[in-house]
Amino acid sequence: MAGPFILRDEQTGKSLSQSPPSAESKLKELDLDEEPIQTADDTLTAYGMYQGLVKAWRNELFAPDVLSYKGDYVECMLEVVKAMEDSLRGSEVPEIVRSLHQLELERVRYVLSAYLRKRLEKIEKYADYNTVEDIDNLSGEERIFIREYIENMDRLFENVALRHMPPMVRNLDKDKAKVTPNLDEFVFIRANEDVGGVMIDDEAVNFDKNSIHILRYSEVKSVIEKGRVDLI
Amino acid sequence: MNSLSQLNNTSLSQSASFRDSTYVSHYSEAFNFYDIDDILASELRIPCSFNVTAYRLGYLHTNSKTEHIETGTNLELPLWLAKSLAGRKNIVKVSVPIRYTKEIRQELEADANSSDLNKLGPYYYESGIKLLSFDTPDVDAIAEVLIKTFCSRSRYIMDRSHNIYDRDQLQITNRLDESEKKLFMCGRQSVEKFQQWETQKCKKLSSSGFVRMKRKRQFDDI
Amino acid sequence: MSDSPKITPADLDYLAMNEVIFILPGFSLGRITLILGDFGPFVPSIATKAPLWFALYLKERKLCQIQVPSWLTCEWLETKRNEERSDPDGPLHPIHLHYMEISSILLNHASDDIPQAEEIRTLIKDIWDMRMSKLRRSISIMIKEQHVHAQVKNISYMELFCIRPHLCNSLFLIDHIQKAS
Repeated sequence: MAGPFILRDEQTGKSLSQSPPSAESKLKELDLDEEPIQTADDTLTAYGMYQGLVKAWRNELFAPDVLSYKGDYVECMLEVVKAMEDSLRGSEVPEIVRSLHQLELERVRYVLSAYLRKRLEKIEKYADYNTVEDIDNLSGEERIFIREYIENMDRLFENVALRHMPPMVRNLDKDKAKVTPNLDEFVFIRANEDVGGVMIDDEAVNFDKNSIHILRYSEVKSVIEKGRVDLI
Repeated sequence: MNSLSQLNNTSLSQSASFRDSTYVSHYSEAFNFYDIDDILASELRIPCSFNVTAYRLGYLHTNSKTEHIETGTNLELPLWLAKSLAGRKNIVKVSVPIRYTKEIRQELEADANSSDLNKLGPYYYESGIKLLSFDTPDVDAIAEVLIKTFCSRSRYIMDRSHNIYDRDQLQITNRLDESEKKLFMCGRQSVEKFQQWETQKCKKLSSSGFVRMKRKRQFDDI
Repeated sequence: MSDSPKITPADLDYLAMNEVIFILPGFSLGRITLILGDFGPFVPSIATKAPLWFALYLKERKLCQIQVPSWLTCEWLETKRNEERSDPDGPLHPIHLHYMEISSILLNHASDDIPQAEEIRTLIKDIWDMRMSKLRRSISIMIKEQHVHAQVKNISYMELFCIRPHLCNSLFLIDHIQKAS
């Protein structure tokens, strides 16, 4: 029953599939490991910040709920963008260098806005849930936004529908009438380091560094927040 | 006992609390109060027999002309109502709807792939899941059949959804229940997006089919 | 229900563009400092590293020649294809995780710099088809046996994109039924 997916045999607990035979001698010259794992030094450089932002964006894309706001990456990238724009406006640079920097700026802006836009989409969708559960994960501006959004939606419901209902059903009980994200959905993760002791259905599982797994989001949520695994 | 008010008590909030525990997620939400499919799935008709007399509700029973529903009357009620009446209040006793009984279950187990789940109820899985929250002895068997049926059909759904050159979608999906249709659409969408991405850069300008045909016809006229 | 996939192929392209490749510049320029790091100096006809997005920009303006990465050669891809073919029930073999995106980008924008471009196109398609069919078979086993956890090795991002909706949603539906009973 070997195949790309390494499943667990119920009885023996052993993996049912093995790693591919080593024709890897030919591949050793090639560097197939993309994305160098961030080291401590990297985090302070612009590159480290950019990588962090890309990771945060990717995690946000696949996570059902809103993750904690990576404010330092966003702030840093905004500063970098501003500094770049200022320096480009002023100096005399060859055309090619100017276009190069502008292209890069566009790329950074894309990730920034994609990240923020995805968070906003989730906040809107799960507005009532977010005000209770994940409020700590939101930035200051997002909290202002969510408050206004909920007020507006409530007023809309009231004016368009609830006002015309018979008295007994005029109140929309927020506890019952909500939309909550699916924390049990299955996601793919990649481990950034060796992670041990993840509980899956009462069984402890270890992840090797750089391995890819599929499992329920709720089981890895805490490990994602710590940055030890990423969603892919 | 004012049965009318009891029945009235299944107001918006109560039916919502029922839905809370048996909501069938459509994958991105754990619970969506406004989900139309969930509302429709709760409409499944469940055969119930009344344990008590329901006063002045005879009009619910289309065949009888009596003013009250007598004890022991059998009536089919929608799932959301049956759930509320059957629970602690014990006003009705529920039994398994026809589509989930042993005979149909055996048919499904025998040949899941060619069964028409759309006919068995467009929300077969969803309503089935809601049925599992009732206290009938068949619950485990129903769950097992739902899972087995889905597992044997999932290969077919995946193969069909990944084959985007198969234009006749209606023919493929007309035997699928709503959950399976959603799964099919999901799979197809991602493969279609992949295909579009792959070919968009290879697109060369070409004249439209209409122009090509027109020119051909004009040549033939000469 | 969210029918639309969470990520788009365009996003995968974006991520693939950060890849660093070798180019032969047709111009000269000193060292430049980008967020991605320092690149250059660029000297005509001396192979230098550059990020893919920049290489494409230069290529469009005919300012460079792109050097094909070592895994995008006929030789390497043929070996790869034979490996996959000889092992139809086995696991996926290692390959560049953005192989579809990068090969597609390079074949469409810089095919003159790629020797035997047409053969490479066919090889990539063969490899893709073989890997996808392995994945599909494995996925249906995983769903049938109702597993809730699995490890995958060497799956590329584009393949993940194609299988994610079906696999994750099916596993969830089964899980949901089991939890309800």
